[in-house]
Amino acid sequence: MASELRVNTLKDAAGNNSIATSFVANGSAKAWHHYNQSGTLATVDSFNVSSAADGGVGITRTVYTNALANVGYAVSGSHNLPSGNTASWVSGYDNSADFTTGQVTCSTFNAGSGRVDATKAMMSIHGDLA
Amino acid sequence: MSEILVNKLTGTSTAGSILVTGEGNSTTTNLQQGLAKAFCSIELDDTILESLNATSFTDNGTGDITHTLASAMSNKNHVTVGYNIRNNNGGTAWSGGYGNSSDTSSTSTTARIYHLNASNSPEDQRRAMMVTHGDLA
Repeated sequence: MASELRVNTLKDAAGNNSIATSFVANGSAKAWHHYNQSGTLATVDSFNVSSAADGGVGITRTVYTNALANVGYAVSGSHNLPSGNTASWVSGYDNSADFTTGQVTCSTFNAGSGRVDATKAMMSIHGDLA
Repeated sequence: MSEILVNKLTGTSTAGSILVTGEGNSTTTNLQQGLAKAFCSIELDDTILESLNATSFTDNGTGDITHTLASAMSNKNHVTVGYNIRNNNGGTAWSGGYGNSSDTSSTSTTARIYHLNASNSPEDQRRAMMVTHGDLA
């Protein structure tokens, strides 16, 4: 049988640096995804990600292994560009159907030419697990 | 009220893997993988306001920062995301991953991030922030 510890608060051995276990659960990232959009979409590294889908240039859907409790979770991201080092950013996709408890679609943008495939695209989510 | 005093948490089956029951009281999430492994907030004058495992950085030029990670990641595939508060010029700014497809500036011990304004130009920000997720070595 797996060992299980039920506790409300964690402190260091000196009794300092107290943190409620609710912060451990709430504060942990529930998923992160590093992927390469160039050519065939490829996951480089991930946590709680079951699959990814290429929706076109600069559009990637990340599907979670374990779903979130609701669609109130937070998404953040970053990426490079295939060439050069000009401005770029990650943002949400076009409509709410692409932002559910089980998946999110992110767009990667180049400031000058709209969506772009990146070789190093990254995203993470924080929120409540179902 | 239950309370445990401890300096180190280690899994029993796998040392680096502890499950935490999620907010919905059923699904579990991996404690080690979910924790941010580094974060840093830097003021315009290069003062580090607060940080975890990112105790120093290199200013590579305008808007271009390489953070040094005190405890190394297992590889260079970590996820590093950022955010800015723009300088006193106001307006929009954002953070991007640095480098092209052959760039190797992010390693297991470094995370490089680019901060830019809406005019597509690198810019030193009033406050530049980053968070790194991934596996520690």
